[in-house]
Amino acid sequence: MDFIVLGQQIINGLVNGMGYVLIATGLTLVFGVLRIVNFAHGEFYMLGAFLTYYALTLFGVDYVAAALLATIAVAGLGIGANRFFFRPLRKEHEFTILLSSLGLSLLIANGAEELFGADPKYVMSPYADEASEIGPFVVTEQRLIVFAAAAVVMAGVYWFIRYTRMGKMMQATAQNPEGAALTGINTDFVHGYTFALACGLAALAGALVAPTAMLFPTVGSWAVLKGFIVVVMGGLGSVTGALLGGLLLGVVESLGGGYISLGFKDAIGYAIIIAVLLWRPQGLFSVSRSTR
Amino acid sequence: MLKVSGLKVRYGNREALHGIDLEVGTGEIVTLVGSNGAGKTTTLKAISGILRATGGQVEFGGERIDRLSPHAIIARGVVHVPEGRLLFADMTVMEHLELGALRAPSGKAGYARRLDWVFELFPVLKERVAQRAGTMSGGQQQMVAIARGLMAEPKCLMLDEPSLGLAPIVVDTLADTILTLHRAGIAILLVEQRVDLALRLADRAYVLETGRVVLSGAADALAEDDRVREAYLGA
Amino acid sequence: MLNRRITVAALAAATAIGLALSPAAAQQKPPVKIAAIAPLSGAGAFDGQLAVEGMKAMAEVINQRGGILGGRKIELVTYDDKGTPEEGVSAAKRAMEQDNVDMIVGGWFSAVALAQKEVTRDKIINVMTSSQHPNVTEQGHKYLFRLNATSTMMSDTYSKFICDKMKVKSVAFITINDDYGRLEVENYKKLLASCNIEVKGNEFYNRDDTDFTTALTKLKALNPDAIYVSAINTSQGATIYRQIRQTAFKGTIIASAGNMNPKLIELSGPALEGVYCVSLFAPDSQNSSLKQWMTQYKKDFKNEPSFIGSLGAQAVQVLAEAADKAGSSRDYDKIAQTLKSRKWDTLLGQISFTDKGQAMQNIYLVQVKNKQIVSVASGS
Repeated sequence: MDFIVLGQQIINGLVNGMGYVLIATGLTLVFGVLRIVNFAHGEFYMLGAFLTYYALTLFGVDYVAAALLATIAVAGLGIGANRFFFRPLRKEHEFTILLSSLGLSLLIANGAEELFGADPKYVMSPYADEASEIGPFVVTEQRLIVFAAAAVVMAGVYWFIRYTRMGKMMQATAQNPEGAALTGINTDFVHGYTFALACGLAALAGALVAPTAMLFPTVGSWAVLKGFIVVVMGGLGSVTGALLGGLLLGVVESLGGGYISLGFKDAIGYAIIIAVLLWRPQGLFSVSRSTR
Repeated sequence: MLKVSGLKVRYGNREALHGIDLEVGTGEIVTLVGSNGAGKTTTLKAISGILRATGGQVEFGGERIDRLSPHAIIARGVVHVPEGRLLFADMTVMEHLELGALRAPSGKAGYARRLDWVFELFPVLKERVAQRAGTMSGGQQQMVAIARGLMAEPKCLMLDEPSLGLAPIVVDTLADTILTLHRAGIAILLVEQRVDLALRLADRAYVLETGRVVLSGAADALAEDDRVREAYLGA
Repeated sequence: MLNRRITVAALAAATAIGLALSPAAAQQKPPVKIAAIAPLSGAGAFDGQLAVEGMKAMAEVINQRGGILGGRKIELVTYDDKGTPEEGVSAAKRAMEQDNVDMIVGGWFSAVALAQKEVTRDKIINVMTSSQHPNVTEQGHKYLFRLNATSTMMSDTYSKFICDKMKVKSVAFITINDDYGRLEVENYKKLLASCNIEVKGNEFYNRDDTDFTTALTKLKALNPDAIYVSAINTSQGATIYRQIRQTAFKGTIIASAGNMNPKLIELSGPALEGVYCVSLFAPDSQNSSLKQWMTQYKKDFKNEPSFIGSLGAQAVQVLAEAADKAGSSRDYDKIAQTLKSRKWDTLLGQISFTDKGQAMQNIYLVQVKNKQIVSVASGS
């Protein structure tokens, strides 16, 4: 019996962790390639979830199509955010950019509250309530989808960065921006699609995770917080680190909440941040700072 | 072919270049000589578009290029191999060469031929195509940097301190390489700490002091000039 | 938010038109003015809107019957307390000093009620509505009444329902990690022990949690007959009910007292089917004044009639009838005495008031069936 609960908690943790992975990957890519600590990243998660909701309720498309539409639309918003907000700030001090991104975050969150209303919404997915029993374990189809879709997307992202020309241009820009420019890489273009990819991933996370809980306009601050914990664990700029860090955080929270105290669940994240920054500031899994 | 006139560059409110005039003819080797802070690297960065000129202009093949982005300048054949190499530490030699070819005018069609040529020039790179740049020796890294630049099919190659940190024997190989490129018809603008070497290789030279050209002329004549000998050749 | 603003603006406009028209309509007799003080902006704005809508619908029902005291109409004057004690106090002062109202209805939040009662102390009839803090009536005044049942009254009745009606032998709790949640668990542990229901465990969650699977996995492993969910916040509640269903728990689900509403049903979907709750408000009750009120409400407003709205309506109803019986809208001693002296048939059933002004309400056990709140039993 105890092993079943343990297994169930690990499964819960892995699913939650996969959501964190998608959020953190975008955050780490933007940091790696542009050296921007983007506090507004969580708002793209929120927008992804809300656009999915409105695509479902206003246009009546099915859940999968709504999630894809939202992801693409928010990827486009990411390009816009880079072009009209972050690019003009590029020459400013890092700290100025960081504070500006915090401002952007508040702007989007408050704007969303005005536009969408503060009352909670629910993203209706046909898979949300159907529980599949796998042996002694219970997982809803939606949670299986979160895990599977995120795993496929992460494999795709890894392949994209590692083996495609655009991915290699991202790596080069991350590892040496001036060297990249002198090699003939259009770094503005790289920044643009890095933002699109990062925001698209956040939006996808929002679209996938939304049907497992209620949705409200301030959910972005939760998302960015989880993202940062993972990025610090995995090492800033490391995609592999984000993957391992996200899964680890999910499982640790789940086990900590299950076996120590639920009230301790969120505190675990902060404890990990402090421990990592004290003893391994480069991240738990990172060998060097790069997008690999 | 490359013509720089009245070039000015500012860092914040400090002007680093006060109006540089220089020229590199087709197939010529030209060197910039000067002490640290004279403005040699700044000049190259302004030509390659990494720094914006605040005055004057840069022409290449009759076209103004001083308002273009670095990648557009590279596409026109002006390639800058920077000081410190600026490689991508976690990427392989092969990946550097692939990225170097991004803006090559001959595109995919000429890629294999250029690759062969680069491997002929630096046989050691062919053996190490899968090695990460960050794990290579200084000399090999310099080869990767030059090879990356050559993949862009430069008409004019700007080399900034290529011998920095290299063992003497490697420096000799480097000098041979520069002459080989010269024979292949590539114009070279060389910035080099080792003034003796630079003047021996170059056709013409410019002497920079605090952001101005103070002397210019044929390299062998300048090598005999007392001021140059005193200041840079330790004579 | 935007929608809400428009609605509030529309309400204000409607009130203004109503004010402009009323002198012509009731030319002979002056209206009985009742102040409706509620949160119309800020976090509680939606609840405040529901409350005022409920009051208006009841005033309309009474006025259509010809009003009270020989033809005087009820006129509501609305004030925004913004959910804060300061604004609540200021609104009550304006109502008494500037607008010279006859009676005041307010106190949707305990903090507001506690501050407001000091301004109205022994000066004017003041009905407090949804606030649950014991001190509202414990330290009330001679003209103060409170409609909502206190949490102790609710839990006494609820535990009787759980013992008698639900056929469960064990229960596990998921409760919010604050004073309210802790008190509630302690309270129910004692109450349920008296009928031999075993409490198998309790998990506390935090105010901003969004994932409860960890807690629910633990609770489900304890294999209880029922899970008791204490969630005041509709959003968190809906997530918890959905996630209980997602863990494939097949037992009984019990919602904490008063925390059942149409929005929760909308958000929770099938997860709320069969869930029990207790409430003063059972929308399916056959009470005739409830039916009249619901018809009027649905005619005038687009929201679903809610508990909060019915409580507002009840306030208007008892004040109107008491003033009528007392023969005055200003003789506060007489009105107060009348209120305490007899039983009142209201839209929420028969109620009476204690000496301290606390209403003894009828409490319904309700259950969600086919997305409707249906009453299963009643008691007090």
